[in-house]
Amino acid sequence: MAFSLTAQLTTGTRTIDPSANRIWWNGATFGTNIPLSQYQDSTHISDTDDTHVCLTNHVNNTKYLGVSTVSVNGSASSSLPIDTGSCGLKLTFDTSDLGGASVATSGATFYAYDGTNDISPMSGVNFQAAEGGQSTHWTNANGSASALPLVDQSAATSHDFYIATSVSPTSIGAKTGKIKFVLTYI
Amino acid sequence: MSLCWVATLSDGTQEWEHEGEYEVLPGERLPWVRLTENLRDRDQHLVSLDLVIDGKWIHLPSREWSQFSTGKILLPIFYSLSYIVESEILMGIQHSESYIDVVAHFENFQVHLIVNAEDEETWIQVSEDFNPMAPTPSVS
Repeated sequence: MAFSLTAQLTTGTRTIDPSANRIWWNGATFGTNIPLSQYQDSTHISDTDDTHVCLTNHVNNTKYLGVSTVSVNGSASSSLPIDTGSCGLKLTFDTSDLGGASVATSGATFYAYDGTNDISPMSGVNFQAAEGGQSTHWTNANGSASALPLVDQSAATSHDFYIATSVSPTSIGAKTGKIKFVLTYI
Repeated sequence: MSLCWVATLSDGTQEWEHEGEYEVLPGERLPWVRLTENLRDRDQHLVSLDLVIDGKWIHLPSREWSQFSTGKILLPIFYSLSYIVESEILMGIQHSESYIDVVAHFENFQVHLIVNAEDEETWIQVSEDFNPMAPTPSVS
């Protein structure tokens, strides 16, 4: 199987190299901190040297306003579900490594965790996630027990999952952890 | 690592993944799904299911004779198989793990054999209420 990750930008898209790029959730501009208990105002891509990559055409920013409302790229509040094209991330699972077989997916989930134990939340953050075109409310997908469930997909050789994220610090200081995508297929 | 399933059908025949009609074909469902479809079309079921990993056999609970006397033997009523893949992303890393989950289904519970496709680490897990994606026909 093969995973690929695409950042959906305010204009166009950009393929993410997961081993060379990072996603940033920031205040008003790249590298600025999100104030305590508030959600991000901008989303960016950097390389592993923390050099800003998306410059003036940033990742779609989906800011949590309430359990079922969002501000997309600074616009007025709107209700979930978020349009797939307005989500910041597109995860693609294809079967190029499986001889191009056609597979159905089930039980896909997306979550953050502390980087050691999947069930342990990333410390000091709320990590809201929603599936584009599907989720009618945000899920605080921090720890595998609170994972965002993604809709099952019928048989195909490629599957796209559109995900919106919104992050808020609950304590001051740098945060560490990992983000994981899991699915079952046959 | 080489890994394949071997299924013994109710008519006594044995089918191997990656052989004969159970090769992976572009645009087609995986061999396991095609096996379940053929079983239904032919009104057959499985009597046993094995994994062969680098030439070593792992036998799931079977409806066939057991060479071990371990008390009352419970017989599975059907089997299922699926694959699980996990990928860590977004934080400047890319790490994926993949697993095969082979399941023997009993009346009220399921026995899972889960194998990491890269390093062969293996788990046996018992569940209830597991709803499989691609089950074989039940024993009638």
